[in-house]
This record gives sequence, C-alpha cells and structure tokens, in this order.
Amino acid sequence: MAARPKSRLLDLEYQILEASIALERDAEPVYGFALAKWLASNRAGRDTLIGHGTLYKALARLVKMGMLSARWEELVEAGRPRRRLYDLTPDGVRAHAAMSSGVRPLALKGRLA
Amino acid sequence: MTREPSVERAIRGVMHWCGLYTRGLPTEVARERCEEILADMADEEIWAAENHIGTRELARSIHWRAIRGAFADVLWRVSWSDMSKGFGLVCAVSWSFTFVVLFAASSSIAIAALTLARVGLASPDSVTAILVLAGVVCGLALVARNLSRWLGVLCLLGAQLLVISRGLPSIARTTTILHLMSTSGSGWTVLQLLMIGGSMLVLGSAALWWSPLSGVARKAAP
Repeated sequence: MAARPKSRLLDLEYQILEASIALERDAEPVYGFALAKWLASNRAGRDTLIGHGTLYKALARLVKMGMLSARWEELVEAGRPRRRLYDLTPDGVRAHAAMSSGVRPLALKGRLA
Repeated sequence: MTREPSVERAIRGVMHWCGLYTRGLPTEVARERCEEILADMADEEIWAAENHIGTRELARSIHWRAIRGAFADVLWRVSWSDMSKGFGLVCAVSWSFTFVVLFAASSSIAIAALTLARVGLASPDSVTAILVLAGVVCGLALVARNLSRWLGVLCLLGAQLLVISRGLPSIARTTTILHLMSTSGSGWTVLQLLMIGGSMLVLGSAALWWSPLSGVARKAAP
C-alpha cells in the first residue's frame, strides 16, 4: 500500500483545523479535550468523543506538518494538570482555506511537507 | 480532589496503557504524550461534573476512548520507531527479549496446565505444575515493572527449568508418543539438555539486558 503524501490532509485533520479556527475565533484556548468536544458536536453522525490515540496522533501530525504549533500551558488552574495548547499557523490557515475551497491539498505539496 | 474508584481505575488503566506504548521512546516524548492524555482525562472529568454525567458513564467513556484510539496509539508508536533510527537496534533487542519472555511464560503455562490435566491434583507431579504456574505468575508480575523486570525473567527461567526437567518427563509418562521418544535412547536427555541450555542462555541474556547493570536497556525497555 502506498504511503499517504505528507501534505495530504485527512478528513479528521481538516476538521481539527476547522475546530481550531472556530475555537480561536471565540477566543477559546485550543487543547485536546476542547477539540474532542468540538468534534463530537460538529462531526456529522458522530456525537461521541473521539479516541485519545486518534486525536493526539492527528494533532502530532499537524504539528509535524507545521499547520499547528504546540506549547505547554504556563498558568495552570489548581486541581488539574497543565494542558498542551495548540495555535494555528499561517500554513494551517492556508491548508484549511485550500481544502474549503475545493483545491486538493496535494497542490500544497513541497511547501508543507 | 477525590475520585470515584471507577474513574480512578479508568484513568490509571489509560495511563498504564500509555506507559506501555511509549516505553523505549525518548523520555521527553513519552512524558509529554502521557501528560497530554492525563490532562485530557482531567478535562473530561471536569466537563462531566459540570454536565451532571455520572461517574460510571464517565469511566466508560474514558475506557472507550482509549480502546478506540489504541490502534492509532500503536501506529503513532511505530512512526516514532521509524524516526528514531539510532534507537532502532536497542528497541529491536528489547522487543525480541519481550517476545521470548512471553513465549517462555505461555509455554510454561501450557505445559503446567497439561501436566495438571493429565496427572490430576493428587499426583506428586502436580506439585511441580503448581510451582511452575506460581513461578510464571510471579515472574509476569515482576516483568510488568521496568525495575524488577530482570528479577521476573529469572523467575520465569526457574519455572522454565522446572518445566523442562520435571514437567516434560511427567507428561512423557502419560503421553504415548512422548513416552516412546523418552525411552528410545539418549536423544531425550540431549533434547532436555539443549532446552535447558537454550533457556538459560536466552532468558539469562534477557535478565542481564534488563538488569540494573545494563543502562542502555532501561532507556529502551518495551
């Protein structure tokens, strides 16, 4: 089986970018569980929370592709562990826009790989 | 914050799984992965409390999310193994030893169970079988932890030697084909010696590999 090109977004990866855009627009922090909640309420036909492995593997890939950047929370509320926060990068915004307008993300190959 | 036991168990289970598939990765990568998932579960717990979701339902959700993501976890781990080429050989050796240890444990259990089934609990041979089973259980419990893994392997080696020296002969007495083999010359003794030598060599090496003497293995224990 041929490997998927590195610049090619999966449906889930596209939806994570979409969730990140929506959360950032509402001035909400973007972190794993916030994305899981967003995906559960916005993915057609899927109202359950996404599996840990599925979500964090996709996030790791988006970070590796440079579409998201990750950092650890600095100010942590008492009683819970620190979160890993994600920020959309210009590449992530462009890839999302390209996919939204129907342009195959493969067109971005080379620059995003 | 005190947690309901069911939620505590679910979170500990997920963290245990996380520890398992991140073993052998660079410490920072493994720690960050586990920490991120722990934060996710803590956030889910807070969200469940705010939305009046019961603890049993929350525990079920945490388990279910871990199960659904398990395949992706393994793929993620494999992708890391591909990336860290320098780590490859150490990981390969560790995984090979893990496979050997699991094979030794399962074969010992199978032979001990077969012996018990053949000779029954009343026979003196059943003591050997029970000792083997106890050795395997203790061995696997010790193998589950990084620091005591080498001790666990030694336990399994003891069980394996008992199986070869005492378990196999007792099965041979009750199994026609093995009985014929065991009474047809010195081949049986040679086979037993070879198995003992092989077990000592392989499991002994595994114990050494995971012993506190071996610094490299501790960094890459699967």
